[in-house]
Amino acid sequence: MNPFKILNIGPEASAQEIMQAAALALREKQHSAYEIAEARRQLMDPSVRPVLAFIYFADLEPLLRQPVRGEKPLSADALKRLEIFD
Amino acid sequence: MRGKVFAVVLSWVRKFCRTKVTVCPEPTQFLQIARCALLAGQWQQAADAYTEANVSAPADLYHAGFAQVKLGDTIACLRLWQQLDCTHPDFIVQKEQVSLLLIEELHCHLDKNPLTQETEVRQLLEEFSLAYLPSGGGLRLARLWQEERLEEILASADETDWLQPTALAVQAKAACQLMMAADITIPTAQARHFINCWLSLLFHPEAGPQSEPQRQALLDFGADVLRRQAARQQDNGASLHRQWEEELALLRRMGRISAMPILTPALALQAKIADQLFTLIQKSRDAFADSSEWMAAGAVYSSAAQALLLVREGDYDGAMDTLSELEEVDDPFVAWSAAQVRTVCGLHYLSNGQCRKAEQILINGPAHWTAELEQQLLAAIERDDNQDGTALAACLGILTLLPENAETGAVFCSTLTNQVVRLRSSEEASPKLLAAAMRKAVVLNPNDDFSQMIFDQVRRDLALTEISEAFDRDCFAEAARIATASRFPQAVEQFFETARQVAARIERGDYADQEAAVFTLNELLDSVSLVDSSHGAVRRIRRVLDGLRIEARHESL
Repeated sequence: MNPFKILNIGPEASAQEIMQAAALALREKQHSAYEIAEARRQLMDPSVRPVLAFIYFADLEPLLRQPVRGEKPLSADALKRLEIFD
Repeated sequence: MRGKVFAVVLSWVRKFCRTKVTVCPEPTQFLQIARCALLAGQWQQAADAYTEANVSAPADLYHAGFAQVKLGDTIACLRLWQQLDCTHPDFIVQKEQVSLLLIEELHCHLDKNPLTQETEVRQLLEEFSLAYLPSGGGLRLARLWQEERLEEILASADETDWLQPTALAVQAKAACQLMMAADITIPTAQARHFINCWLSLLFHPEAGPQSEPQRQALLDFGADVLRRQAARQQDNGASLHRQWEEELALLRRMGRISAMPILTPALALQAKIADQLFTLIQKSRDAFADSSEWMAAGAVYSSAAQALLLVREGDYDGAMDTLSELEEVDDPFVAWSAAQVRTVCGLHYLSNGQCRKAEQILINGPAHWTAELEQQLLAAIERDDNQDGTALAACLGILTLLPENAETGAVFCSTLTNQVVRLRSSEEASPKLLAAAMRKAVVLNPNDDFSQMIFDQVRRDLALTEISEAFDRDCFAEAARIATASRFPQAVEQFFETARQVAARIERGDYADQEAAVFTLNELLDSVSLVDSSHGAVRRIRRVLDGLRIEARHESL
């Protein structure tokens, strides 16, 4: 299970935010107490957390931008008629 | 003036668009209408007129497509533009932009109703060759990641653009999460996919970790995830570990040679950059400790890479099928790969007890003599429990590859001797094979007295058998030669004893034809005299012969 998702926090959350998120998750009862405790333990471990952050987060911007030879995203409206066929 | 004319035409087009046309214009007139409507931005009218005009000229095809895409019909546009044989960069870029619009549209359809739309969408992607369009695949990949559809990310691996860093990252992270979550044995191919993606990502200059300690932490984590899965994979666990270790070492070294993204061999093949990486290795001999390491690195990116991957996946027959083609290529890396394929396939068949097949593979072309091959060969000789020695014969063939002065010579000598002792007692193995095995054993370790003793015994057995066989064929001269060459008194004794038996049979009248009997006895006498003219058997045979001659003379009188 993704510990960031269980506690509903981002990769940069501080230790205090992790504790608060764990308390909130326990109240909301969407996950078992064991899962929440395990997620908190993993994210409080400074050697484990960067690894998990690397695994569970990805910067999708390059994929969403749809770069085609440096062009910006286009809609049909933005297409310009080419004069090379005139 | 020009402006005035345009205004008049424009007003005429607008009028035409508003008026219900009752007279059908000529195709050329439709074209004129279409061109004017296009210039006026009246896309629907332009599209209708182009459809009526049945266009074929490049400019008209382009403009008809342009009107269609402006109306939102990207499929109609691309179908028209497919007829254009235009390589102008502006047109190529615009066509790709329209392709992207279509892909986005198709993905929306898929997301809304995947089951009913899937086939249709796939047909369209194929029609416009869009399956591998990077950005289109990337967009879908991003969507799958956002929705945590990890299995589908894995399924889309064949369509992934591995040169796009984010696509590689998404595939690697999804593969890692699937491995972490797997509490069952997953397919070996999936575990291999994880190794490929994870290592390629961790050594990627852009998408990978930005510090060495972080990379090491992620490598340790990946190794741990793999270890847990490999423990479940009974047969392939060791092979997965080996792949991890070999490719980790390879990527570390390659990362020091070049700042370009280095992919594992399997991904490099998919991404079509294996040739570039191969060239890079070819030019970097100094980066490798020895030529063997250099060859091994280049081989996995060479044209033999596919064969090596087949071997790794356990498809030994498939790899062997490619061998004849590989052995024709004049390249040291490919030659090294071919020998490697021979060696590993030979090893596989040897460990499976298919010694004859292993022998054919290993000795019918160049192979690498390795410590593993040595161990497997020893094991194959040791565990051979056939009574006829067929496996021993095959292993003897493979042993011809053993380098001179090999340190394991003494071990092979004693193992061969033990097998020969076992087979000799079974009396089913050919004495010739046993003698050949012991000849090899004493060559490997001339100081082993026990082996020398067994060698003498099997040579004596062989001489006795050969003498007996020669007498069975009435080849007395050959039997005499064997007896003379043999330094074993038992062999000479058996020779004379058998000669006596032959003479006794003739004397008893076993030969109906007297002339043939005399001829045979003469031959026998000559052969016996060659071995020892003073032997009692010589006198006995001569007596029998004289008796026959006297009998023959009486009959003639």
